[in-house]
Amino acid sequence: MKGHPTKEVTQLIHEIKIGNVEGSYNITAKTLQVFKKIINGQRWTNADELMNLVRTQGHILQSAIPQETVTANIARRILKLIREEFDLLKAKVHQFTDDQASMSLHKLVTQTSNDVSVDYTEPQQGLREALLDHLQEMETELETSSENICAQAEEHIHSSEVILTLGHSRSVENFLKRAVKKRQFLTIIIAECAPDCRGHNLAASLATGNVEIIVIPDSAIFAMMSRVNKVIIGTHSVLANGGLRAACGSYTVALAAKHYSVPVIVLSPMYKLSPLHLCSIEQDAFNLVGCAEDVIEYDSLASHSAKVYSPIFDYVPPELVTLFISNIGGHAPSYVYRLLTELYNPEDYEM
Amino acid sequence: MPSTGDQKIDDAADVRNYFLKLLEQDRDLSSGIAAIKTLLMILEKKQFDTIHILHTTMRDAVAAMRNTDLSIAAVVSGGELFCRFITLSLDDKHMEECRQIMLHRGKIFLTKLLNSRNVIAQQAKKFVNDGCRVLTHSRSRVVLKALISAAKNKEFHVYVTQGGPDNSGAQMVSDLEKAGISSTLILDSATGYVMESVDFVMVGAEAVVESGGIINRIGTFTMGLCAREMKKPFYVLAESFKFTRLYPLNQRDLPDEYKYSRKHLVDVSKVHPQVDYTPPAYITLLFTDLGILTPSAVSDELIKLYM
Amino acid sequence: MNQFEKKEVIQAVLIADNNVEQLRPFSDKNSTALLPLVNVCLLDYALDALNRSGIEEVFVYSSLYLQSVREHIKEGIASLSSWSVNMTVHVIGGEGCRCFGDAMRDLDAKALIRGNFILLGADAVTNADLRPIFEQHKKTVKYDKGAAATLIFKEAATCNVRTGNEVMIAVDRQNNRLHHHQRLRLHGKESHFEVPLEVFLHNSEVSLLHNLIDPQIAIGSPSMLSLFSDNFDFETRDDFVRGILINEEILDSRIYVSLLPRGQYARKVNNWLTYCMVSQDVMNRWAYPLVPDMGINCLAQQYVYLKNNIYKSRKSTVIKAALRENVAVQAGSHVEAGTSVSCSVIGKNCKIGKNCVLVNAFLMDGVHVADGCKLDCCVIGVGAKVGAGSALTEGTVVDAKSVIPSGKVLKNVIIKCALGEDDDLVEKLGEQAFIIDDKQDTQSTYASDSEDDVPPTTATGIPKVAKLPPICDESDYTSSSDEDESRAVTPLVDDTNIFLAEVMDSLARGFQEKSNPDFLILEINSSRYAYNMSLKEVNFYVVKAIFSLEDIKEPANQNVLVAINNILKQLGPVMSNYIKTEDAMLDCLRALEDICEENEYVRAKISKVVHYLYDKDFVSEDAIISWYAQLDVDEHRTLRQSLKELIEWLNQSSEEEDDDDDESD
Repeated sequence: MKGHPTKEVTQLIHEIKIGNVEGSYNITAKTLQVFKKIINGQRWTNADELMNLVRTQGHILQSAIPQETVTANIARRILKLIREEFDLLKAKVHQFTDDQASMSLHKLVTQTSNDVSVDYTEPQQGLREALLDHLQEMETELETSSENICAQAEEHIHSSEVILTLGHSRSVENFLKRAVKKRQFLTIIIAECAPDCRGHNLAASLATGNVEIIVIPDSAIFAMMSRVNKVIIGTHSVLANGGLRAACGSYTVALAAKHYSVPVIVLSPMYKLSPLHLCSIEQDAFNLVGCAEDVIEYDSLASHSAKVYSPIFDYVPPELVTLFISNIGGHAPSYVYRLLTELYNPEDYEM
Repeated sequence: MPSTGDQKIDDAADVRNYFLKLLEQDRDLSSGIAAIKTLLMILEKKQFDTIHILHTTMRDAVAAMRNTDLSIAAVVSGGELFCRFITLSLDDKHMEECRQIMLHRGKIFLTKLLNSRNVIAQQAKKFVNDGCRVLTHSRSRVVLKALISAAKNKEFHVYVTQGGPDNSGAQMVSDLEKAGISSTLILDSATGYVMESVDFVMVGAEAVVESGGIINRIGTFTMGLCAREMKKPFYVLAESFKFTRLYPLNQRDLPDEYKYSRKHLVDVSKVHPQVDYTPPAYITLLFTDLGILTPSAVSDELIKLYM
Repeated sequence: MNQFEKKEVIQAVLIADNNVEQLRPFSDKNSTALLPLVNVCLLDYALDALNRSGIEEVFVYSSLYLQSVREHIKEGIASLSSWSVNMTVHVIGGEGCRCFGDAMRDLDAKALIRGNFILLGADAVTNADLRPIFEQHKKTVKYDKGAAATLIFKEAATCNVRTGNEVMIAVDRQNNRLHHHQRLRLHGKESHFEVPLEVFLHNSEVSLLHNLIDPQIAIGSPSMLSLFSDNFDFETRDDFVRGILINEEILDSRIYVSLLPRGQYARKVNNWLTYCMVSQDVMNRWAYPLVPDMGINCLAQQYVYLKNNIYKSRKSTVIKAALRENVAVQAGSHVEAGTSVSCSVIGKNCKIGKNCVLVNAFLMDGVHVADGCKLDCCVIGVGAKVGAGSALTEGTVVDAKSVIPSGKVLKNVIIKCALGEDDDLVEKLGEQAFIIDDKQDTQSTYASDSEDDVPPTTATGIPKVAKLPPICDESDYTSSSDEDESRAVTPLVDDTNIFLAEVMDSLARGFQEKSNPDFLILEINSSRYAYNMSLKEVNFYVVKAIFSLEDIKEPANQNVLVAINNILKQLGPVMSNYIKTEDAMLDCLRALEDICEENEYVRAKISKVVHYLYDKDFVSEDAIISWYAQLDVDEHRTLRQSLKELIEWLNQSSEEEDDDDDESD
């Protein structure tokens, strides 16, 4: 659907592309603000118009920056929110309950009429206020998501454990800081995650003196794995089948962990959950390939004859993940489908 | 006045004939849908005084259809679904009204089911890329439809196994070639050999059981084992009416009526089974008209229905 | 105080319309800034780069095709190009502006630039973050009020490829000041570089860098524009740099240098060869995030990125074609069965027929290529049609809307669709295809910095698309013959060095001014006493100095004998003053030995030179023979070889003389 992006959306896309706004948390917060402005500022008379508006802007965001799925996720959540609020308000008026909008065998069998969808074009009183209330709740949920994840640190990390992590994830950093406060004699092994080597930042941030920090190059991951008790990593996004799109190097960590039967715990707040399926490794916009100069200098002799490939993401299949810890608790990778149905409406999976 | 027993038998014969005629007229029709159509026809034609009679008539009709020589898995699941459908739509209203409501809903239900193959094809074709190699087992109309729809703007190659003594794989190959897709017929025993060169496996299913596993033509389980060993994705394309309330734990757990045709049920020790059970651990994703599901999501769907 | 400072808006100046000659025939119809590189205009790359560096105000200076540039900017803002956010672009026109210098003077007159500004051409492709360099420049200006500009260079393995962008500079490591700047030749390698001695004498840490690419990006201070206005002979950027370096005291300005760190790419597209190189670099993701799939000039992503650097638009159809590697195919294009495409760019709505082979081919929008064509290293303009079975190779450039008939084989030519006034027609191919002459005198294609390096004036064409040569030629890395020779040359001690230099100076001056040889002898003698040289040494060095004069080093028409003749006519008396005794003659010949090693022309004609000296009675026969006798058999084998005949002749003639003498007795 062709639509014109609003000024705020263009500004957001520009800032993400340039790199002024980076990190899933910041992008999600900004996207939420943008949508709040749209709901508040734009003119719309009924739920259908608003949904079209949100859908168009979500589509524009996704086609401009396909890798940052959090933007489209927020759009999907808002669409589901609009539907729910509309139904709730309508039910109050008409004493009519209609549970779950999702497709199911049950729904299939109990269809009462040919026209499946609820008629959203009816104007509904109080929709705007209800939506803004809920958006406020969503913002609070976003802000406290990190705190909620950290609160589970004590359950999963015990004293005298050796933990391995990769690169620098904000969630993992806070999680480990909390664990360090409550537990003794921890050893944390950090794989530096070339070529950006952001693991060094994490090491600097965790080095308080209370915990032993070991920084290793990516090639030593398999060698160190036999001594590790747990692997704790963050991820960029979680796919619909429970697989991960995580920083390059995570697949190595997961495979090594599988070999030594080390549990792999993935910290991911709910806004990273995306209804995307990995169709193939070459799927459009699944992986982002970065600058060739990270790998080899332009100045060197090999640069003209060798092909240089520097992928930014890795796909980790769901079999290699033991547990997801999100702000609403822990769950198995096979449970992800359930969370998806609670977060988004199946009609919105395709933006 | 003929006894109710004779009438029952006549009805059964009528039902069977109608059922078989439906299948003959439209080769592409799934036996499950044909079963539902038959039941709908009975609902339309027959007169019922009470709900109880309606139930029993339906049950008998399903039993009659099971008595045919075809594989009964789809018939059973389709029939059960329809019975459930009747149960759900009952209100405390007048019988005739009930019937009209049920007929109306039944027609909508049927239309939705007839479109299910298209929905599945739309989802599955995203997974087929240019230049990929697909392995499939024997002949499945859903897989055929999905591949034909993908071939509209992509080039790929399909390996098809023979699929047992009736060599239905050859029919699949000729259908694919007619649609312009390059394909190769291989022996069932060559599955392990060819697995390293394919990109993924795509099969249909005769029934999807509650654990998320599938019942399909014999040889599917072997293919699943090979695929898992070689780390290739194993995709199953199945319409939603094939979901059935069975929970086999191993191959022997499958009821004999599923595995052998009626005439061999007397002595099964000397006969080859026609289907086998593939446990959910070997399946990567299921493509259904309800969406793309992981095996663990299947039981959720069934619970929601039969709760 | 701080709250009263206005937030500083960094300004940038983009010069469009560069390199009109080198990018023909495209530059005849449209601005070179609008040349599409991997389907995005060069101007968009430059604007995007500026946007990423946080620049907020850009002046695009265009003289030739002002209207098209204006329209393009307007379109870009309307279609929400990524550079239009947070950045205002003004297009300034300058009619009658012929060169870079005129543009600078015009900008100075218009007084739009307030402080330090960034200056680059619209044809620069870079992903560099210019902010830190800008801050550094501001610091430099605070410290040194006369800092005119900071030039930005990138280190790269230039090896065998010359594109006209490579420079050799001498820079002071302590404060990054530029002391010497020379643009490397386009055709052929220099045999040596000459750097003024003051560069090394006045500065303690000087680096000579010759592996640099000059993307012609600079940070200018406000004084830069006024320098251009004051000096009307500054036409190109190289003039400016040279002018400032030479007239340092007069202009009281200095130039500083900044090298781009790793991960930041910059290159200028100034001819078709660099066009090919930069296209490949962009597709190989050296200029990340300026890569085709990141949607440089629009919001949505344009391509699907597949492995092997293949960028395929979702709306293009590639049927059974092999897209090998480094290919970009834009929307609406159609490639037929059996074709193989690699290292190429295909624009919008193109049609490629069956069984074609495209390697290093750059096709713009709407090109139709019929079946069976072979396109190797060529550029095809908008809407051109190539007939079936043609082969366009070795850098052919085809103008927009040309129609090439079938079966043509074209190598290294420029084809225009219609003849203009100043095109020289070479051949007419069809109604809409004319081959024109692109040969030019190499002198005009670059500003030669050093006067002494006069390259041979052979006419060659402008550099065109070509496959890059393999990097390592063996000869570059094994010890070449030059090194052997330098080992054999007698090492000079400090004082002797200075003495030699002084003598050379005096002789050179003397030769030019045609002064009295007696005065020259006086000068040389005074130098001799100043440095306390022995007689032997004086003889040796005087001869050496004479033979090191310019005219002998690089003789006109390579005729060294004529040159020696000329010089010795003038300076003969000087030489004969010193070379009187036999010992002196030996010294003279030894000096000649040294010269022989250094000077190839003398080496080739050594026997003739010795013969000449003998004829003019500078050296005697005996001296020659005894010198020859003590030439080492192995070390000077070639020398002995060339002199053998002469020696034989001398011996013969001396025998004859003896005979004569005997007879006369």
